[in-house]
Amino acid sequence: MAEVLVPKTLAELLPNINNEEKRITAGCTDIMVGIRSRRMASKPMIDINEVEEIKVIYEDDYSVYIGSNVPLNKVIHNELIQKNFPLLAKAIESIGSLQIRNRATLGGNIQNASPSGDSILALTVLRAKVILRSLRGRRQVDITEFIKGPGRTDLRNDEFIEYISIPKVFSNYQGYFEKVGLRNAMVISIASMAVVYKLENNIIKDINIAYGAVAPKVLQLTEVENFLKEKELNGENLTAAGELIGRNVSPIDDVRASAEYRTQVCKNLILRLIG
Amino acid sequence: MEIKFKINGEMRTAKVSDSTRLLDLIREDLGLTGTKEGCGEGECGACTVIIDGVTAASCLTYAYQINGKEIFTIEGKNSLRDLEIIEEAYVDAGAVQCGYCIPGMVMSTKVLLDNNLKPTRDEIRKALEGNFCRCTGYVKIVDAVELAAERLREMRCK
Repeated sequence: MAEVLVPKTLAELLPNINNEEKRITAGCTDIMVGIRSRRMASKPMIDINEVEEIKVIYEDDYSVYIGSNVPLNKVIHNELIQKNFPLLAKAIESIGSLQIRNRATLGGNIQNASPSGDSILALTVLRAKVILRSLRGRRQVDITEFIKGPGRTDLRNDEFIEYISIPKVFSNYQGYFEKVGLRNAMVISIASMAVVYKLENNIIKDINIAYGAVAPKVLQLTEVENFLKEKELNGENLTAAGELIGRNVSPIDDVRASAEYRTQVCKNLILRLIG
Repeated sequence: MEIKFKINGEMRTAKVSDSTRLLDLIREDLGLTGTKEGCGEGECGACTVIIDGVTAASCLTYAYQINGKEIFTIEGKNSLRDLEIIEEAYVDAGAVQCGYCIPGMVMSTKVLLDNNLKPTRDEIRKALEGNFCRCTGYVKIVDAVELAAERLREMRCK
């Protein structure tokens, strides 16, 4: 029988972290399915739901910080998130169902490192950082460097994800998120796209683009971003960008869709920026 | 471990193992079989209960996680009159066929109407997105939620 520890404070949590032998959990919405289907090994758990210090979303002059055990639905409706990063709220709203979003957390979504993780997509274009905490102190890692591949992260043995921080420079950017799947709720994406961009007189001054579910991890498209910078936001340029995107994605055939279909979806999604 | 919680208005204690699901605590130990198990993976919403005012899939919640919390299941209609009104609206709107999904639907409806007593049909569909019904095609379920909202509004205005 796996045992569980439910720390109420960071002081109780930190000395007990041992990621090789124990599993840190919060919402448990993926872990319970994983363990019951025997895809995941049953391990002693450290349930961080009740660590009150980190159950907060706050800001300083430069960033907004989201506690790793805040349920997704609280993130969506938080005033700071709605005001600064509606793109993130939209991406998170596409995860699971309300029942799942009331339990699941952003920290858990990141630690799962799914190639189709919709929150990770939004966090990638918003240049979010993962703040890791251990008895040794804190370190910050870019979200794209923290996630190494499907289910693999840079989490060290004595660390846990404490906060996710998002720089406020992106709060005046326009954003777009869309997920293509088979139904509205509980969908695992066929392909998904997140974009933030800054326009001046319809010229793209800056743009970050990321695609989900079409490569082993969230795919950043620097070549396409560079192509679009200083160009006018119009159908011609976006169609050309779509061709570039088609050459950069590496989707797979699986039960949800064929690689060919996914590639076409990726090319078409960028055209949404002009409605 | 021993946990203490309030369920349907009543304080209870229970001994649970670390891996007991909330769903099993409710159905097996407490004998409240109104909450149903559908998929067991959080996809279908048949096991939806209310924990501290928000819905959760009881198949994806460990029993120990409700320690110190307040739970409502469909049996809570004795202490939570809204549940009874919502359930009646489902019956009157003809939204119930086999009935298996209805306890979960009623719980999701209750939380929706707590926050929004005049939802649009789109808002109703969004709020019930995590609840599957394999009989009705959802039109009458949306009708039922509208009817429940109307009855609750009338009741509150009196």
